[in-house]
Amino acid sequence: MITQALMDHFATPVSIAVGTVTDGRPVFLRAFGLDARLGAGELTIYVPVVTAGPTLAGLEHAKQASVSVVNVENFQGFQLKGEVTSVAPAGPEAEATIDRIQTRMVESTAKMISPAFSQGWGRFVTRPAVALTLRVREIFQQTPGAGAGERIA
Amino acid sequence: MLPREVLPALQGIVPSVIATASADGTPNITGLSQVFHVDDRHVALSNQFFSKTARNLAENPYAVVQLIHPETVRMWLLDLRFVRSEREGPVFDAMAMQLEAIASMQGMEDIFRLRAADIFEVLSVRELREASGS
Repeated sequence: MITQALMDHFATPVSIAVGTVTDGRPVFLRAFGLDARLGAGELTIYVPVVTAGPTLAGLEHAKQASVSVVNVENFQGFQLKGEVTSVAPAGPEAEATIDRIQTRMVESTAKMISPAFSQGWGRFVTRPAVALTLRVREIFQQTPGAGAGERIA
Repeated sequence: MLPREVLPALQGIVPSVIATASADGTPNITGLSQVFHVDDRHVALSNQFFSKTARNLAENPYAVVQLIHPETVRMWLLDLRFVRSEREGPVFDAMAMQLEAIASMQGMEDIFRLRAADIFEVLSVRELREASGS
């Protein structure tokens, strides 16, 4: 389900937004890293502990999550939906992934928005992080335009 | 209800994000070109490609929007409740004009088209101070 096109997309400077549901109401989280394997049906995202706390409790019950992954340089995006199968502390390898993606975002936002914004992005508290793994059920196109919202897997 | 310090985050320089949920508890999350200040208790969101978001709001009127200040990178979450869609009138016209400017800035002139101005009541505003590292 995770195609080469998605793997290529994940390697670009991506903004990662996460939606979950607690008590019937939507909840927003920002993730600062992700990992996936070609051909696998899972996606792991890394959410800073400082912002994830109350939501993690809700995930024990709801388990559903949606992850929007958007390339900030060209607005190409995909949304992956599925069930959260594990919640665990992010280890050193995950932190290296977070740092790599954070560095790409800092470089890109300096060009796309401003140096001041880029410096602010670099100050986000990304560690320690929690690793949320989803069993991906559906994937949707999210690039602005005619195909936005189209299910692709 | 909507603090003045949030207003720069409504300029459309940094795209916002909206999270909604269907009646069966499936979340949906998508980018948002424009969050428009209607008054201190209401904002309007640009409805452009919102097919799933619109379906969710018909079932469950609650939404969360993330805003980011374009200079300081301060981040806020707005808890919202959907009120109505407007396809004409002063809010729609003002948003359509602003959306043209945002589209031009982002090279999306041929893609962005305002279908409706979706009006929401602002239930609460939370700044994610703990995330900013400053």
